[in-house]
Amino acid sequence: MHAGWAAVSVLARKFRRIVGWDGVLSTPSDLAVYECDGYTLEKHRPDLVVFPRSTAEVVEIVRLCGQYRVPILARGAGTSLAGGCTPLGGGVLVAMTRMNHILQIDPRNRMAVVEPGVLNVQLARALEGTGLHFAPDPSSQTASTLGGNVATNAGGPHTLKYGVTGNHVLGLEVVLADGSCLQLGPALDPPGYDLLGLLVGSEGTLAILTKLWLRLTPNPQDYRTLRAVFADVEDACNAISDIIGQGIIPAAMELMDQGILAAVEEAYHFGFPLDAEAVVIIEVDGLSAGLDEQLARIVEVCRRWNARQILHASSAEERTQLWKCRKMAVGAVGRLSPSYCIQDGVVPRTQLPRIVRRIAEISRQHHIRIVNVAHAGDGNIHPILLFDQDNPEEVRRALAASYELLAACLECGGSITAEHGVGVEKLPLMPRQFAPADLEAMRRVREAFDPEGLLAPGKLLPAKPPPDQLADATPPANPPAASLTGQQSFSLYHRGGLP
Amino acid sequence: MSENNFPFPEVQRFRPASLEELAELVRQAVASRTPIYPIGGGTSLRYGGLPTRPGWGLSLQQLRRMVDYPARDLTITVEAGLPVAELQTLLAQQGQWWPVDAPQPDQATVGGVVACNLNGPHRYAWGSVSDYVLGLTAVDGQGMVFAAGSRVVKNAAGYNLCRLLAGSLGALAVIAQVTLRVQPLPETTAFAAAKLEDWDLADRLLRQLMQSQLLPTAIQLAVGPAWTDDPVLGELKPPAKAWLIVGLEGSAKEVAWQVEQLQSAWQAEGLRQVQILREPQSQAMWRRLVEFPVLPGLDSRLANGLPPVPNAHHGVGEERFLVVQAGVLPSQVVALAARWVQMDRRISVLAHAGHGSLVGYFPLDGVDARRWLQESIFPSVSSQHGHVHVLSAPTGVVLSPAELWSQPPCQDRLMQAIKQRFDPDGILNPGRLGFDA
Repeated sequence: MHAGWAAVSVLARKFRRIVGWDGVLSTPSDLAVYECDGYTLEKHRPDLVVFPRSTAEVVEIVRLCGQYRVPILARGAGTSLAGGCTPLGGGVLVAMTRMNHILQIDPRNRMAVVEPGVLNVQLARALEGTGLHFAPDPSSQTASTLGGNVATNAGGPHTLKYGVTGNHVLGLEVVLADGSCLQLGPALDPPGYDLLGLLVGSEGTLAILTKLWLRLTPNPQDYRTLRAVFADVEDACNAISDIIGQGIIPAAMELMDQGILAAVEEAYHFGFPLDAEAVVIIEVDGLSAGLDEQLARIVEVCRRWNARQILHASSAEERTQLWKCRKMAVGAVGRLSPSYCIQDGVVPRTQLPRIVRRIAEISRQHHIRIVNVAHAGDGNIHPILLFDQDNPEEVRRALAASYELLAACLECGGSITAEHGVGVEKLPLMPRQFAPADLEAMRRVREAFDPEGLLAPGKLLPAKPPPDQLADATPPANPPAASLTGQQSFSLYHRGGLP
Repeated sequence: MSENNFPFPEVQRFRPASLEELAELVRQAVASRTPIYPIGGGTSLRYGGLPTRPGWGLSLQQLRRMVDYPARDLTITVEAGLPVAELQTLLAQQGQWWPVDAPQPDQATVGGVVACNLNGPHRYAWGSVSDYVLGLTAVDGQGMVFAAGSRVVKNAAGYNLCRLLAGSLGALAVIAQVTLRVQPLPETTAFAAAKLEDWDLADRLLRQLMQSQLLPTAIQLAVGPAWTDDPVLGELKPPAKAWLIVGLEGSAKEVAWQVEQLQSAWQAEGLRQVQILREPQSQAMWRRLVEFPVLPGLDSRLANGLPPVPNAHHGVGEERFLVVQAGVLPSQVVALAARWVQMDRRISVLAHAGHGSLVGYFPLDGVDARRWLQESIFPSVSSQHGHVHVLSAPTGVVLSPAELWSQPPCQDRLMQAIKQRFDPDGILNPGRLGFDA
């Protein structure tokens, strides 16, 4: 089955005919750059990296991979924090970064048409002055690609009011596993099964995205931004739930706990009281006419929950200043620890106090320092685990703590990922979140799109359980495509899972 | 509703009262290869193709419990057979709502609305039905019970099977329970409506609106005899061509400010006939817009479980109509609405101009439904990458998949492959989405 190195060089030559000499990477040192993404605890080297410039080139690449039965994984900027771009078992990595053109900005239809390699921030800049913006703004937006945002259904701080990436995709052009090209949208709600809805967040396992029609949102007329300091983190969480309970949907509600505050304070000296357990940044936006009223009600709720300091911005500069501590938070973590892992879990908003307590317990139990930032309005937590990557024992403890805190999210009725996706990192937890039948339903979708198993094999869904674990097993799928060089898949799941 | 309205060759009807009973029934149907027709409130039974084989009616009306409502999480989990009106009543007690447009909410069930994924005026600002489905439990065509999604507002684990089932018309799985995202109820609503005398003006006003700072929640263009003597808006007689109807929702201050802005913008355009509708008239207007696709007065023989409206205020008497919905880009809406009403003076249209969707009534007296579709309606969108489907046709009008949909789902290779895997025996709603036709 394994084609081996001879096939790699044949394929490299054929790819070069398609994309040009400089469009293929094949030397070990070049390939090493692509063996992981923002999640560095697991690495797999691709056999080749190809850089197409057009949909037609993607079609040819996919057809060739099909002929040689070589796994394909699309990659954007590689900012995934879950190993979404890690090529399990090698194969061909299709890097979309050269398909980076903004094709059309259409204010009348509030729509932008872009190639998948366009950076999120590149579109934001192009939209300056139009009065419109693309709402999804993941923290990675200066580096991440729009194709990657769509493939992972990326979030960010503004999803509470504006929704996730999936709510802002009008249409897609994709290349399927058999090399055929399909356009869905941009006219809304075509009848039949919602293939577009399936493709968003499918992490490269159903198709390769080659063109995106994105919905643009009018810029808010005005903002009101507030920063409240709470002595007690549970008070902060309760305030957040009460604001929603009052019928207010802020554009963002960001929580930072004592641990991250200490790091921010040490690095940048904002003047936060170091005994405060939480700082919450709340922003409402929209029509000026409604904002002061909302702000007054939010202040009232924060007071009721014992906020000891409430600052609000009365100018654009002050707004930037209030946000600064949040934007710089993750950078400050670098000062605390040689390595860190940003986790991504979600709980029902009202369970935030419970999960915060559990994280503190888990931190103590595993002797791993954990600091927290959270898109608290969504119940989306980002515990940051601090450890030393060169210390295998600490790595083991960090992984164990990660696993346990995501399992705790499930116990609270949540999910193992709100916006980072499954990647390789969360694969072992999929069977915790989903019953065998739930996973079987997902597997059917995958088999319908990619019967040969060429796209991102081993990713997103754990390997199929033995038939007796399923009420109604379907006929076995075709064997998955093998790596060219016969690398062994090395995911956490295949190692038998974490403790 | 009367079961006589059920237009299917139904052999027997079952009313499972639990998920287990439902799954067991499906398994029995699988064993005997008996087709299953899931039925919610029965309000959309004319949407899609006719059933092809006799089978069991599977009513979900006994599955109507509220399972969990953590109001401060803005989510609610209910069984599929709960009528939408009851859901909205529950939510309203906490100052919340499910911001989707379901005609006939007293009968229409939550599961049925999700399975159809048909959208109305609110889609412009609030999104589609499927945007508000966070999780669900369903039984597939082999009797396998599976869950999808979760009960949290943000979830990126695995494929979004909620989106797959929303709009699948019960042809992949029977939806038994859903978790919905809900929203705070707006404090107040209002409409600004203007009579327009030419299409260019309509286009210009829409362009202005889309580029203004206003945040309307519905942008509607109403044309044709259904709107000539509207009980809420009043007369629309030539030379007036259309109503532009802009819906506003939010706090009293936000709504008041936007009404003022619209009034002055329209005054500057020389529009004299501008109306402002405030509560409770604005609520009546919302109902009017949402119910438009099932206007009982337009075809009493549709008998959607409602008594026919006897008066002729829709201006169309007892004619029979083909009701279609089209999807295009927002910038193409005015031209398409104009093109449709020019085909026949009896045609009425409600266009959701902000998000590019149109509902049209085409009279069947004198013109055959097939001819309407193939010679006039399909060609009117084909050059714009749009799509059309039939929402309902009168009794006796039998249409094939290629006539019901400009792009029939059953002819799509991927949709076939998905159908095959969820319902290999083809027992779920055969014919309804065109499969097994």
